[in-house]
Amino acid sequence: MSALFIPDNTVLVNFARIRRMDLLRQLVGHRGQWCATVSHECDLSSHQPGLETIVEAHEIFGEPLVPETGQEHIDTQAIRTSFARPGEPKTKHLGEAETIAIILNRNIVAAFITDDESAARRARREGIVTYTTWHILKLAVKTRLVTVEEAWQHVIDLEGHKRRHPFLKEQDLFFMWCGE
Amino acid sequence: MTEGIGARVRDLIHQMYPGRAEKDIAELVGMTPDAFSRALNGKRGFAAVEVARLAELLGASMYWLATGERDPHEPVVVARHEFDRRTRSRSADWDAMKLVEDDVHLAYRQVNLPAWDQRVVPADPEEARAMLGPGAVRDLATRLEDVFGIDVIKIGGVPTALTMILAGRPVIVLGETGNWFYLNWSLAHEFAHLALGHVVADSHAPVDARLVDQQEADANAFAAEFLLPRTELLAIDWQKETARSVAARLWEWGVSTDALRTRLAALKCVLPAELSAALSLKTQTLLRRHWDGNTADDLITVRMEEAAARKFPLALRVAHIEAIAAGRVPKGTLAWMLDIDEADLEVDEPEAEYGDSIDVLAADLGLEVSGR
Repeated sequence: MSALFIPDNTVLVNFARIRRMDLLRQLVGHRGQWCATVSHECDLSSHQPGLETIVEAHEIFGEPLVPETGQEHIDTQAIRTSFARPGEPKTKHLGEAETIAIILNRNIVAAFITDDESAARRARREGIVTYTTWHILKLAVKTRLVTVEEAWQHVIDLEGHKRRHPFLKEQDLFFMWCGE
Repeated sequence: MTEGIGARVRDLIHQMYPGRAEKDIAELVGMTPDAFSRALNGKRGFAAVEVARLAELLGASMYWLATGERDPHEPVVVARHEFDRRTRSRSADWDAMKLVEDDVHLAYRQVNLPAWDQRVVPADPEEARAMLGPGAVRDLATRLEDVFGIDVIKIGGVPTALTMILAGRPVIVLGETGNWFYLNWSLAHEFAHLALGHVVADSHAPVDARLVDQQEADANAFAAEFLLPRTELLAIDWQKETARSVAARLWEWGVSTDALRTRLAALKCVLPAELSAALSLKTQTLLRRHWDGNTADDLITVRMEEAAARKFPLALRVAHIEAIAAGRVPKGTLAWMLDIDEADLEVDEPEAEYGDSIDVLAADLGLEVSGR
């Protein structure tokens, strides 16, 4: 079944950081979509040094989806509550929460791309398929948009090898995972 | 479209910023004037982040902005105050208190604890003391939880004590302090608000200063009688008391020299000069100079450390451990409750399960996959 490709800002930041927004553009094609709060977060991120190209997301993902009902806003708040942490500003995680709320309320068939594990876990509990930046790099390898060596360099640049995913720990493991 | 939100936002702007141009408000919440105008007129929705910023600017809850109804999860405030003896006025760092309130509220909202079982809390301090049992003041927080089902939280950064009903449960929030005697007084005072049925029905409504003053006076009277019962104090021959004997009593009662001095004055007890001088000392000074029960283990320091320790109800912590293991909440809130780094918290979370294979995602996106 065809699905929309809906990212959160963590993923956009990663592709902007490695200056490969072009990869996202090629992979997503016309199946990209994003939500209004993620679009806001993206604009804020564009002011950070090295992330200027993130604004290309507007061309890739188009006009953002905006909550249309009170229920979508209530659900956004409830979802955010489930993965917020004490001390965080009330706007933290709102992009991920709004995305999940809109996907659920509108029954959108979508792959949600996020590196926020708490948000991904919540999305999966709701039956939404999730992927990470690393999966998108793997997709780029499998579709021959980058070599596996280039993809590994991106992992290093993004310090993915310091994260918990076992397939990112070492180059050989990453190469093997990309070949699966 | 969310025209209802637009109407509520517009009404609040007119109330709070009469005459202020909408474009100024738009700028404050990071929206373009055009987008803000269209959103106010129901021709465009509000993003979640826009509602959050408007809620903060307009002092409204996001739930109310979204629905026009009161948030059913909103905490019910029982008492929130700080009495400044020096200025004889209540003062509090409201912004700091709100942050604490939000964090504690988050911890309760993330899990499902059973609502309070509505145990009877007597409005009579003597009866309450009897129900709590002898020596209750030594660990009053735990005793209040065990006997009355009242959750007690101790945490840093709390400028004033706070009592509220969260998720149907009475919760007292206190600041961490090494001064157990202040802690006991605060706890007795907050307990009094619950025992006396003080509830602020609408925390957004203007404060009725006279009512609040009366409730504060009643809570103080309850706390005084609870910690320093009149009959017990009047039965003592204060002329025969010494600094040493009073130090022992202070240790047992868990109150400050200041509290005892004030209480004795209210009861018109006449003290010998030596005793007056002793009670003018700081509590710890009196204890360290005159209490003969402080052994080599330094019980005073031990009691200080106990009072200063962060504390969250066991039921809340257990609920978070279970929710983390089930993948329903992140570890951050439990780590905060335990005052440790999230990375150091060893509670197993479920393994991540990602979507179908990349080949499926590729097919969804109309991409052709090839081998390496």
